[in-house]
Amino acid sequence: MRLDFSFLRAIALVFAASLALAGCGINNIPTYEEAAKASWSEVLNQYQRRADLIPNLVETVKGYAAHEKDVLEGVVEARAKATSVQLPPDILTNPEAFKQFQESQGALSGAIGRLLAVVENYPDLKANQNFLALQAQLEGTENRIAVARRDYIEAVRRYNTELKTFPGALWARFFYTANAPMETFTIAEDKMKTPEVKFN
Amino acid sequence: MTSIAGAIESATSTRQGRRDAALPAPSPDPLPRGARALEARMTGVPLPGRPENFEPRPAPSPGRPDVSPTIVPSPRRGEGQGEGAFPTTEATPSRPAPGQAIRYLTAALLAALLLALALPGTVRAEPTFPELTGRVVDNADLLPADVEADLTARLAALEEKSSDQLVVVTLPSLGVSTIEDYGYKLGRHWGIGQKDKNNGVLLIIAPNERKVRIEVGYGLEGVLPDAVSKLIIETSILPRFKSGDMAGGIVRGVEDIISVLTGDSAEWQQRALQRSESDDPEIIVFIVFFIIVTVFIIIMIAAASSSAASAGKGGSRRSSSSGWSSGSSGWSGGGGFSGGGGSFGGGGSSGSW
Repeated sequence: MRLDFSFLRAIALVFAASLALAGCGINNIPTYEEAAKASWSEVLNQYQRRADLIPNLVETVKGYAAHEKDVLEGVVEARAKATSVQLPPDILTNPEAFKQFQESQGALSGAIGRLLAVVENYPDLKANQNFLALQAQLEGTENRIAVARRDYIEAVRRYNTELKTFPGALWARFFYTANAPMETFTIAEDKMKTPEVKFN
Repeated sequence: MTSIAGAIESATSTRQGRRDAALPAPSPDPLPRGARALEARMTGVPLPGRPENFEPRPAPSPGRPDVSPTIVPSPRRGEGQGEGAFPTTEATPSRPAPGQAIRYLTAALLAALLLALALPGTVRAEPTFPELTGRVVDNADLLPADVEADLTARLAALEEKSSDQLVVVTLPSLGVSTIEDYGYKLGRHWGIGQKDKNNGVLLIIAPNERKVRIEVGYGLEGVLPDAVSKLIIETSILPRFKSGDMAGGIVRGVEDIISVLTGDSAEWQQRALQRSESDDPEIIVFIVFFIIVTVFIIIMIAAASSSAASAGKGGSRRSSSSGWSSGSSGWSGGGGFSGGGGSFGGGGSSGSW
């Protein structure tokens, strides 16, 4: 009987200790890390979705505005570049690779923007049902990218904060020494400039 | 010269002076009289506030010059008193003052720490969201009461059929955010759509900004793609809005969305089937109940092995009944409407008029 009780007490102690440790946030760092990685996958997913839309878009525009070669080629090139970027496995903690990824996607955004600006000159194209559907999808994808990026930024903020603030910093120091802060999106430099207003 | 360091210094010096003067005379001393005498014999000289109970001296030599003026708090004061054989030098009535101060300081620090731990990470700036008062939240007053009731009935029928949640919301103002930004956050905030399927749709109308948006939850992006949302907005909603028929545009938009969502009857029947099969809340309740029962059984075994078994049985029966009573939780019961916990990822389309 006595043995039974001490055994039960040991189980209860282990249970209580694990609860207490969980309460102290020992699980937070891996939990937040996984959440940030999941958000990153969603970002990649949406960028891929955009890349998949582009060939159709280019083909449709070609049908109406074949002589806008420069713009069309610019989009194709930017897409090729963005999709050919090799993502190293440590991209989230590697500032260089992350920056490269961000720049290639930013270049593609710029090329698509120029294409859509050119399209404004072709009323027939703008009325084309196929083009309208593609445009709606592209808009939706850009919006999804924005949402996915925001979710990723938020997840990384939480993870990085956990690594640097009190209880988490201790766990990071003693248990999760391999965990490094993750990179997050920054606004491209050309977008930080205030737009110039000219009257002429 | 009213710095804290100066104040402490002056306090210690006056205390030392007082102690030196008070030592020969009987003072209101917490130590027993005998210990006090022993101490006087052993140390010879009156000591400043040096707690020697940190290191019990095995052979104290009389007259040992021990005059370091450090003020160290003495947490082992009670212990030292209990020992008796090795009395402490804490001997003045003014002694509790710094000790208490430090204790207060420690308590305050601990409290601050707990407070810091309890506070959530940071407060994020979020737009303010209206309350989810029903399936039609007409805060901008665009719909007559009968139209609103009719729409509510249709939306309830849609959820009944397919478990999809469609909510119409009109807003007097979007604040500083764009309708795209506002839309997905509102959908997440309300949790429109079932949690496991994310099958919520919001039709958002902001008449003052002249913006309309169909916000589609993750799970319906395949059924209601962006291009279709755009088509509904461009062909059904915006022409009516442009001619000033707000209610007509909203009703037509809702009709179109419903017809798309329920367009493939085989599909929505399948979805309705899945809905009745997957009852997450009950599974969770069952797991919790199972854990409670297991714990009680363990306790019961322990109790039974030492004492009478009858009390243990009664306890278990009571626990099982309380476990089941909390089992009736669900989103689709009764008259109130609430989101099922679905999430949004920015799918859908917007328009302007």
